[in-house]
Amino acid sequence: MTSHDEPLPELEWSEPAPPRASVSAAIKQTAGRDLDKGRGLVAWQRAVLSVVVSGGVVGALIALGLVQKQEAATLRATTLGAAGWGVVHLAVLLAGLARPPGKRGSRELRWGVALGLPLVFFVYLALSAHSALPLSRFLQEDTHAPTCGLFTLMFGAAAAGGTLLVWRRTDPLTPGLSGALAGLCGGLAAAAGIGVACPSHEAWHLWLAHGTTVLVFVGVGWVVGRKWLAP
Amino acid sequence: MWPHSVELSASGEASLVTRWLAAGAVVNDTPLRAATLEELMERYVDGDSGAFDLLYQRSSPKLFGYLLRLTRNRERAEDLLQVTFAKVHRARGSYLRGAPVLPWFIAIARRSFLDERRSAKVRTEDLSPDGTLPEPKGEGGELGNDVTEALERALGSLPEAYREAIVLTKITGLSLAEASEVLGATPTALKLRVHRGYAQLRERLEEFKRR
Repeated sequence: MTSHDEPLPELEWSEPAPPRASVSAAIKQTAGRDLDKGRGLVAWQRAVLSVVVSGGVVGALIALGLVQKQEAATLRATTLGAAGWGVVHLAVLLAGLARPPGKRGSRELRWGVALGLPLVFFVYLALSAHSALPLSRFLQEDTHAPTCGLFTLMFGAAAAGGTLLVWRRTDPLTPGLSGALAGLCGGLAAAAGIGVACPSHEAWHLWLAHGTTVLVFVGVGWVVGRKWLAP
Repeated sequence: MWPHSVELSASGEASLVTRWLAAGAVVNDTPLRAATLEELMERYVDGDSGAFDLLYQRSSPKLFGYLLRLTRNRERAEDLLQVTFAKVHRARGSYLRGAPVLPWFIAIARRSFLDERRSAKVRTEDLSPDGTLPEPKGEGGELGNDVTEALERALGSLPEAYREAIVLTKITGLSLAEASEVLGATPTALKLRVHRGYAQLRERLEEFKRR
């Protein structure tokens, strides 16, 4: 340890002269306006709303799967998968967004979740795939993938956008990261839900048309969150 | 809740009601004066302007000191203080119960500062040729004595990253974890900035002693 690593003895920092009285008066006047407006939603109410938004998206996609008369066994398996990811979604929501800013755990851990969970989701998709075509054949044969990807993005936009709106202005400390987690929640809801509605269970299709949505919305959430989640 | 006209006089001085509250009157079973910043924020969010007066009284010196050391310009710091509290007022409904208030305010103040600097493109006339902010003008007289003034000048001449790290942890009193959240750095990186900043401060103060 060099001498430069040692802390300096406590230094006496001066308290600056306060702001002018007119500045304080203007601030107090502003703060006195609309005080009867009342508080917004508390954390648990926002969490419930977020679950309703994501649940609505997954519910719509399950209904779509039922309408399309998927095989009962497949429908059951994919619905169970969606329910499992629903639990993960809830955990992310409660730990990453519902706790007050400053008490949400380390930034590194939360980034690890935001970037690691999409990768875990890719592994889940690989394990739940029924077949895997060579990439070149998939690109030639799977004409359904772009439409399916677009659908997933649309549902993801609804879920992620809704979640971001619900948590608007709640995080001055790490708005981008919290936005990424909100995007992760929305992306997971859409990608897990589309698994129920989509008849294809080919690995490349699952990865490209379903799984990439999660990554896309983590990125979108990060960008949008910096604007929307900061007061 | 008290009518606004009763709470604040035109000059911004605390009204009788506010002074009575600040002197230890009881609201919601706990004396306001004994309330933490977080409890005061809760009451302010619930519409208690007396709580805001105390909240302002307790948080503004630290917030203003932070902004003053960031901008090194009293008028800009005052403007930013107003912007910060206006944003706090607008966003009070989304304050999540239990969130530490001072880091919440400081993060808003810092963002306001960065937004203002970005939109003004760091007014070129304020910059020294190497692109950094020059030494503050006209602030020396308010600092008290030579040592304090030298300390503030030395702090002002540090690179912004070091200066901010020192201001937040050593002067404003945020914990390493809170300050690293505000600055978007890891606690280890922040600790390093504080140490390096202190090393530079030491060198500059020794120069001052030799003079």
